[in-house]
Amino acid sequence: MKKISVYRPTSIEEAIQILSLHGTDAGVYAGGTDLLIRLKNRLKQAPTFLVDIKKIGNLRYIKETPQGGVQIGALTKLAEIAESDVLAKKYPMLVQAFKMISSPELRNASTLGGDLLQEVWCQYLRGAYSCWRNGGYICYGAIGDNSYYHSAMGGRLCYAVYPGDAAPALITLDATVKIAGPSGIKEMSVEQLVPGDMMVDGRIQSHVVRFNEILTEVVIPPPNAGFRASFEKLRPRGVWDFAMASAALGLQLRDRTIEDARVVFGGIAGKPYRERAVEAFLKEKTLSADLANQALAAALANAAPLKYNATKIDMAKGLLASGLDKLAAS
Amino acid sequence: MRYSRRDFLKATAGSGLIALTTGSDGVVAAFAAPPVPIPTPMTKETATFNINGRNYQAEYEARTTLWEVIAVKLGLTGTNRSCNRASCGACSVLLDGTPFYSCHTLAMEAVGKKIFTVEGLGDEKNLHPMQKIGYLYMAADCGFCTPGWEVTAKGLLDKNLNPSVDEVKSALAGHICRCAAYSAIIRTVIDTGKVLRGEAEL
Repeated sequence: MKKISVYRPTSIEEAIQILSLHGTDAGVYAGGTDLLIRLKNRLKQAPTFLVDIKKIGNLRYIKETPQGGVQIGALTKLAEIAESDVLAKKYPMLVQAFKMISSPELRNASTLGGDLLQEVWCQYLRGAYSCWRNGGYICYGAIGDNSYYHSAMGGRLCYAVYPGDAAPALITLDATVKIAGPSGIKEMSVEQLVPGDMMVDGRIQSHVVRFNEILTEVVIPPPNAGFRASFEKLRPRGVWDFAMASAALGLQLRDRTIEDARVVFGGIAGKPYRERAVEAFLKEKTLSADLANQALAAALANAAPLKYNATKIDMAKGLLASGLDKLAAS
Repeated sequence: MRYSRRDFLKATAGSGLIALTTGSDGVVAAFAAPPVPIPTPMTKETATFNINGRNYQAEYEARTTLWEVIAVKLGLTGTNRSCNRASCGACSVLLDGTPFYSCHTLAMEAVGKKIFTVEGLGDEKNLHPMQKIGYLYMAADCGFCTPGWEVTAKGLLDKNLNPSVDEVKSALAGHICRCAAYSAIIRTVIDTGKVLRGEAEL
């Protein structure tokens, strides 16, 4: 593993000061499940200075807001979210999605903030090929084996898919995040947080958090009456693997009529792919067994699969259909 | 009173570092960081590890993983490391009763926690019921993944002595057995629960 030095700040201000001092040589270390692989494979973008934010006391919590929503600290373990009674009562779909992330041991280690801001899991990047993200000038996924974790919806430089499952589920719930930086606290939606491959601070990354900023909190608005959601995921191994395709679905119902819809696909594009065509199609429709077939015709019309991954589009459409069928049957 | 250029520079330096940052929206915000001394980072330290109830002293680097401390530095070689990439589960240990991959946990995370490895389960003179039943059912074929799933199954049985097949499957989902002894492993865990509950005799 790469040689590292670890800082253990006790406040967010101190952590931001250390991050500002070292620039992109420093990185935030919380659960470490993603970071340690980058260090073990000695990637260019693996930091030399780790800032262990676990000593900062007030970042690990799940609490209800007075309005009825939920605030989740960024250091909350995925297992704690998957087993939370509060979340299971308010947002059953979120708990269902978190139970499908990774394996039990990794859910005990990894944190919510880390899942949202994780690096892509392209085999070329993780194998320390010198690709765009690793300091090179080529995307091996676009020309090589791209059957598993590469974008089927086109790309700019990097064709790796955004691997997380937390982000699609949270976008469906209209969640927002809080980011602490040197100039104060920023708020943005989860959709704005992960806009796909971006050049930030001279590095290509999937999120917009800068080198001296720390994601501190995820805020989920209160659930409306009549809101139904489902989360579907398909992966090569039934556990541990990242989604080849996932579909998070949220419908705001009045009786059986759909007032508002959220359709977010994960694992098929460089960002959680919100399919607004299907959302517009579903509006004012009545939830019925036949609706899934009609929705499929509107879904993913601008797909641009690479040589080996056209099947991801079929998977995503199938997951959308099974999600809609489940919601129609319930 | 006269101000010289030197006095001005001194005063600026004394008031703390002026850091310039560019927000992602393009706004340049200037602020004076409080003159707090930044501590030196940890690269190497010595700490006490509580493994199976015994305390061990070990010196480790910041990059040392928990498996390297347990098996290489302290010589408790029961815990196997296979993939070193948090995929296979052979290196699992319990930290305060919760399973973790020890190849993918930095050693500093385990300081101050109770570590449980397969050596705490039993030895050849005094086998744990799970090890006896696993031996009868041939749940260990080559035996390389065995320390990992036994430790995770112990963590499950400590919380739930009567797990269903699905609960065992989801608890042991993070383990790969290349000999594919999965059905025997699941039967072992369920029957160990029966023995520990006192419903069956060995």
